[in-house]
Amino acid sequence: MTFLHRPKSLKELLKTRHDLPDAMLLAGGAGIMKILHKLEEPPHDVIDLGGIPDLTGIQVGRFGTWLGAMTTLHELTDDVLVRKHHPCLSEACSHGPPQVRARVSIGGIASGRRFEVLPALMVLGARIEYRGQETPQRRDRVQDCLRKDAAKGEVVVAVHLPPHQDGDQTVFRRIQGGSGDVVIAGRLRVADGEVKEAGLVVGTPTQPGLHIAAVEEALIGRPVSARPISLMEQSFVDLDPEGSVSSYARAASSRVLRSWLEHLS
Amino acid sequence: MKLSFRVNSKIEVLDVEPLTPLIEVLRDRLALIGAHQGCTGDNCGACTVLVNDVPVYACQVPVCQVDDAEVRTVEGLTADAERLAPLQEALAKAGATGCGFCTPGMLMIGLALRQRQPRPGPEELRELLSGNLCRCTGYEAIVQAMLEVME
Ligand SMILES: Cc1cc2nc3c(=O)[nH]c(=O)nc-3n(C[C@H](O)[C@H](O)[C@H](O)COP(=O)(O)OP(=O)(O)OC[C@H]3O[C@@H](n4cnc5c(N)ncnc54)[C@H](O)[C@@H]3O)c2cc1C
Ligand code: FES
Ligand code: FES
Repeated sequence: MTFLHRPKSLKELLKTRHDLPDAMLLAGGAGIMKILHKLEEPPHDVIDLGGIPDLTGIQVGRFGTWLGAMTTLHELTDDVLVRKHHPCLSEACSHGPPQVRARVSIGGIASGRRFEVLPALMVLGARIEYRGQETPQRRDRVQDCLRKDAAKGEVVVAVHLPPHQDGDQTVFRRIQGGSGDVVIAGRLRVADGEVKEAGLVVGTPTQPGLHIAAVEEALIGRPVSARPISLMEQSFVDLDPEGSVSSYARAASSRVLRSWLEHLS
Repeated sequence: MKLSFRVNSKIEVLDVEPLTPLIEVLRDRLALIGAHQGCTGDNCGACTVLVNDVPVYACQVPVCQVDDAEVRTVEGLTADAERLAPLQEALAKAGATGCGFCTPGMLMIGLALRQRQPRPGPEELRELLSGNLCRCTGYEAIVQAMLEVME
């Protein structure tokens, strides 16, 4: 038999989570059935995050953007301010069946490590806010969360995005591939004719980090340069243990993004 | 747990395990077998129902999430069991059904869109239908029939 707990505030949630550290969390619910299929028996306790106002809402301000953990992909695509300030995230959230996007939460994405949205969060410099009753509040970079699990008793309460800066350009592309879709998110900041920041993250459902030449080819139809493949291979870093999210070294990112943006304009 | 929700405007009160998939409750407990179970979670869309007017895959929704909610299934499209709803009639007339397995899910998408927007364009309809698979019709007939009835 499964017991359902429905905390009504963040304080109540943290207490329940602390008292029942093995309880399953229920957010949008889109991933629950797949998790249940892998369990030998249903969980004894489930904590429903659905009725907690502290986990909902989108706030866009001068100091950045706050996304409550229960914000759905659908809300992120629909929100005018998110579309304006973080088009790359909005675009990343617009893929997938509407029946799923209406339910999947950004907190679920951050914990479930889905390859579709994480690259966009990473290039935007997002931080995930964890809270626990007995652990200090912390905000970790998305790339740091990929290799470690949340501490027992912790919950994702929000995702924070730094404010958009002058000269920022972001791009997001989803490409259908033979063994599953590949998503590519990029951010380039040029000021006074100089590249100040460049980030390129590629997410794939299964295969290990894509080759940068393949990325270029997917984006622009041809490799940007004819450098030998072996050299290019050194320019990416796998960000998760499965190697399904990779980030590219700054020089490579900058080169590919500039050609990509030129190509798009 | 004790759960109460409305299905096609009728209040249902059930004692049920909270993580039971909604589709099982609809089909096995309430004998509403219109929503089909095709793939159990790989996006076929045959199980699509509306929860508070939003289309969801009933095979993926734990029933505790519909507590106090309004669920609509294909059975609720028309109050008169002897007559087809305009959306159903349009699909039938246009030959937009083959085996019919996907049809209940497609109809619920049509209903959701119609409620959201009285005169949707083909792009909006296609986008909303993107989570529903049809192996028989090639989709175009479904899109055309729905657009016609919504005009
Ligand atoms: C049919 C199907 C299609 C999908 N398609 C897509 C898609 O197109 N794009 C996409 O991005 N994803 C997709 N997903 C996967 C989905 O994004 C993940 O399963 C995601 O984790 C679900 O988020 P949720 O809010 O529904 O979480 P839930 O399913 O409610 O929770 C799953 C688990 O995530 C963890 N969790 C959730 N919220 C929190 C939190 N706030 N703090 C700590 N832990 C938490 C818990 O361990 C919880 O048990 C799909 C899943 C399915 C079943
Ligand atoms: S049966 Fe639910 S998506 Fe196929
Ligand atoms: S009519 Fe047969 S699957 Fe659509």
